[in-house]
Amino acid sequence: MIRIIRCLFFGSRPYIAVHYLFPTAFGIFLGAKTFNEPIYLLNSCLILLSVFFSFQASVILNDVNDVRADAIVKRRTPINCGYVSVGAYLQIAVVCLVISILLALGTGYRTLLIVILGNILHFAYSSKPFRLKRFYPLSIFLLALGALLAAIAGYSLYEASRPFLSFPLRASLFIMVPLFLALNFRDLADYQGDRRTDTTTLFTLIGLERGRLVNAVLILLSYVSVAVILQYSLLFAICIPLGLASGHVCIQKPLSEKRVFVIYFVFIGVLTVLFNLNPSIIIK
Amino acid sequence: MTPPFSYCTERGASIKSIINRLEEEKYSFHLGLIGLFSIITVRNIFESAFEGTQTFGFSPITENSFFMIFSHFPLFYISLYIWFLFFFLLMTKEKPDIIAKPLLIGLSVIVITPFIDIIVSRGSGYTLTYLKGIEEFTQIYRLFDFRQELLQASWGQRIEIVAILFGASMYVFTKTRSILKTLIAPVISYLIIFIHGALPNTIAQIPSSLGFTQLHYRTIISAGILNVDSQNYSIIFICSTVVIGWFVVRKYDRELAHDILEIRKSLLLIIGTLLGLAYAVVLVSPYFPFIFISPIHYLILLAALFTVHTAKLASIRDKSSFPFILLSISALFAALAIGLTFFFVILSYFVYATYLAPKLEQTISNRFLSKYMTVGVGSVLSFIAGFAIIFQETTLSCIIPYDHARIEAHGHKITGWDYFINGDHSDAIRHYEIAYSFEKTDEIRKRLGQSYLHKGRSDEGIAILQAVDRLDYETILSLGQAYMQKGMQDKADRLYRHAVSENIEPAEFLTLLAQAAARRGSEVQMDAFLLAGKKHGMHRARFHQIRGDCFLQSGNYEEAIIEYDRAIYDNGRSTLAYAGRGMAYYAKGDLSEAEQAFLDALVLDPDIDALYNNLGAIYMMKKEYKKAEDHFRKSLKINPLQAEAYYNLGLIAQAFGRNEEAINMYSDALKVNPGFTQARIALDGILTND
Repeated sequence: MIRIIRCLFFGSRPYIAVHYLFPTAFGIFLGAKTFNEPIYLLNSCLILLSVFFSFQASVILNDVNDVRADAIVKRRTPINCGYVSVGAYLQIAVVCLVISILLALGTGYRTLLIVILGNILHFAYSSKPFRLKRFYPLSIFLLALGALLAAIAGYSLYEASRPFLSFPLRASLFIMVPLFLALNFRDLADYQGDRRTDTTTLFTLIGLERGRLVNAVLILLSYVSVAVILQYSLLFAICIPLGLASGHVCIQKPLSEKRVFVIYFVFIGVLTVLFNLNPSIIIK
Repeated sequence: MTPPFSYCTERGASIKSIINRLEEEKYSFHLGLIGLFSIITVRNIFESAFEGTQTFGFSPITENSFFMIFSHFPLFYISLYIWFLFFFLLMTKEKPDIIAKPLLIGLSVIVITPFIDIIVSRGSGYTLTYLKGIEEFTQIYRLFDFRQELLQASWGQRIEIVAILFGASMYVFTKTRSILKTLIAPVISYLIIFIHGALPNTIAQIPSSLGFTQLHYRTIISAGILNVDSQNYSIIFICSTVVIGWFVVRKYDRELAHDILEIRKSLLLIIGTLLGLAYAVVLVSPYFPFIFISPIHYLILLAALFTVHTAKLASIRDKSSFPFILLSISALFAALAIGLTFFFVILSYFVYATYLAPKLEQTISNRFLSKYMTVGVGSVLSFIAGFAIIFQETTLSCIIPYDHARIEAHGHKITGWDYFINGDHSDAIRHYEIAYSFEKTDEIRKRLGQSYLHKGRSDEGIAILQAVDRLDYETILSLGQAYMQKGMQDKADRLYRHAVSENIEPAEFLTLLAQAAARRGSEVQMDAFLLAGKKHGMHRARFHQIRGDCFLQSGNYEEAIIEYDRAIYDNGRSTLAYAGRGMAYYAKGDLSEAEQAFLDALVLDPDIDALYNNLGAIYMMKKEYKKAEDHFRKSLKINPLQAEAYYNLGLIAQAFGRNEEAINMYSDALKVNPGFTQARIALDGILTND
C-alpha cells in the first residue's frame, strides 16, 4: 500500500495536476456567476476530485506508453525508477479511472459523459492505436482541449443539458488559445526521446535552438492573448511582464519547468482576484 | 511513355505506405477495442450535443440516454465495423487482424461529422435521419448530389459517407490492384451503410406484411417487452454483429468458430434460460397479447441464448486468451442490450463460473458436490435470466408468484405501453388503469395521464399527472401542455419555472415560457426569458423566431418579418420561422410572399396540416379554388379534426353549386366543433334555400 501511495505521489506531477484543476474551478466559478447560483461545495469537490483522478489515470497511461522515450531522456517516472511494474502501474490507473468515474457520477450523469470524454481524449493522446501526441500541433491542441473539457465539466454543475453550446465562446477562447500557444515548453525536456520515437514536436520540427526562441515568443503571445481575448487593457500591464519572464525562463538552459509553472500560478492568482472583483471581465 | 493509371499507382503507393504503417502498429486487442469504443463514444456524445434537438446525451431521461450512448449506437457502429471487416476479408484475402487496424483508423472519420454540421448549420445542428427505409433505396443518388440540400442527411453525414466510400475503394485498390474490385468496393460499402440504416424498420414491417394488423409497425421497434426503444435497436445490431462476426472469427480462428456453434457445452444453461422464459411467458401472456407477434421478441430470444452460451464458453477458457476476451465481451454486450437485470444475472453467473467455481472446487474436497454446485448455480441463474427477459426490473418480485397482482400489473403496463406508443390511447388507458389499480408508480401515472390528455380527458389527465411524486421532464411537458389547453397559463408558467429552477432542460422550458409571453404580447417578459434561455444554450434562430412571433401577435408585421428572416439566416431549416414569415406576409396582405414562405416551410416539413390550411386560404383569396380545395383536403388527410378546413371546403363546394357536398362539409365542421357559428349559419342558409 505504501508503495502504491508513494507511486501515486511520485508520479502525480503536482504542477500539471493543479494546472488541470484551474480550468475546472474556473468552470464552476463561471457557472455560478452566469446563473447567479451559489457554489455547490459538495458537487464542486466531487468534480474537482474526479478531474484530478482522471488526470492521474492519464499520467500513468502516458508514462506506460512513454517508457522508451522517458528512458532515453532519463526522466524519473515510477516505472523507470523501478518503484512499480508496468502491470501494477496500469492497475493503479484503472483504480484512478474508476474513482474518477464514480465521483463524476456522483455529480450527475451528464457530467459523467464529459469526464468520459476527457478520459477518451487522454487515451487517444498518449496510447495506441491513436497516440496522437506524435502529431504536432494536434498534440498541443488536444492538451488545450483537455483543459477546456475540464472547464466544461465544472460548468456542467450549473448547465448540464447543453454544456457545450452554453459554455461562453469568450471563455472557451480564454482557455484554448493561451494554452495552445504556451504548452510547447513541455516537449523541450523530451527532445531527444521524441526524436528517437518519431514524435513530432515544435522542437523536432524546427530544431532545438530555433525551437527555444519560437517557444519563448509563443509563451509571450500566450500571456498577451489573455488580455486581448478578455478585452481588458489593464491586463496588458500584467501579461507582458509575466509573458516576458516566462519566455526568458524558457530560453535559459536547462529549462526549469518549476519556474514556468510558478509564473503561471502567479498569473492565475491575479486572474482569480480580478474575476472575483469584476466578474464582468469574463461574463459579458 | 506513361503507363495507364500511373497517377493511381503513385497515389496507391503513398496510400500503401500509410496503410502498411497502420497495419504494422503493434497494440493489443484490448487497446484496439478501447480505441473503437472511444471513437464511437466521442461521435455519440458530440452528435447528441450538436445535432438534432441538441439535447446532451440524446435524451433528458437518463435511462434512455444510457442505452443510446452505451448500447444502441455503439452496437450500430460495431456492426458496421464487423461488416466492413468481413467485406474487406473477402475482397483482399488478408487476415482479420491486419485489416482491423487501418479500418479502425478509417472509422475515425465518424468523429468529424457533428463538428462539420455545427459549423455549416451556424450552430443549429441537423436532424440526422439517414434514408430511413428500404423504400427510399432509389433515392440514394441524392446523397451524392452536393449541389442540393438533403433533408434526410446532413452535410457532415454526406461527407462522412463519401470519405468512407473513397477510403474503402482506395484500400481495396491498394491491396488488390484490381480495378473491378475497386469499383465494386464503394457500391458494397454503401449497401452496408444503407442496410444498417434500413434494417430496423424493415424488420419491424415483417408482421404487417404477414397480415398482423393489431399494431403499427413502428410500435414493434419502439415498444415490446424491453423498456427503452434503444434496447430493441441494440438487439437488432447485436444479432447482425454476431452473424457476420462469426464468419470473421472463422477466418481468424476456425477452432473458436467451431466452438461457438458447439451448443452442447452450454445446453444446461440454454435449457434453463428457455424454461425461465417459458415460465415468464405463461405468467404474462394473459395480459400481454403481443408476445408472439413482434419479430424483435424472437431476436431477443436469440440474443439471450447467444449470451448464456458465450458466457459459458468464456468461463471455460484460459483467462488470458483471445477467445476469452472476445466471448466475454460479446456476452456482456448482448446482456446489456437485453436489460440491466438480465445483465447483472449473467454477470453474476460469469463471475461465479469463471473466478469463484474453480476456487470452490479446490476448497471443497467432495468433487461430486463441487461439480453439482456449479451446475446448480448455473441452472438457477439461467432460469432467472430467462425470466428477466420479460419481467426486467420486476423479476425478483414476480418470479415467485405469491403476489399475482404484481405480475398482472407488469403485464398490463407493457401492453399499455405498446398501445400508447401505437397511438391507440383508448386501449392504453384500459390497460394502464388496471395496472394503476395494482401499482401506483410514477411511470404508470405519467403514461395514464398522457393517455387521458391524448383522448381529450384533460381534467383526469391533469389530476393524475399532478399526483406524480417526482416531476421529470416528460411529466412537466405534458402537464404544462394540459394546463395551457385548459387556459391555465399561470399554472403552466409556474411549472416551467420550477423546471428551470431544478435545472431540468432549462433552455427548452425557457423557450416555452418565452413563447407564452410572446403570445400574450408581453415583450419585456419574453426578452427576459429569451436572454435567460440564451445563457442556457438556446439557439439564436429560436431566439429570433420567438421575437418574430411576439411582433406578429402585436401587429408589428415589418419587425416580425425582420426577426423571421434573421431566424431563417441562423437556421435555414426552421419550419416555424418560415411559417411565421408566411403569417406575417399574409397579415400584411402580400399573398405571393406568404405563399412562397408557406411552400418553403412545407418543403422542410410536409406533415404540418396548418401549412396546407394557410395555403388553401391564400388560394381562396386568389380565387384559385381548385388549388385551395386540394390543399384543404391534404390538410384534413393529416388532421381530420379541423372544423375550419371543412367549412372552407363547404364554401368552395357551395360556390361551384355542389350543394350536397357543401352540406356534408358544413355538417362535418359542426361535428368537429358544434359551436362553430359560421358553419351553422352557412348550413342553415343552404338548407333554407334548398
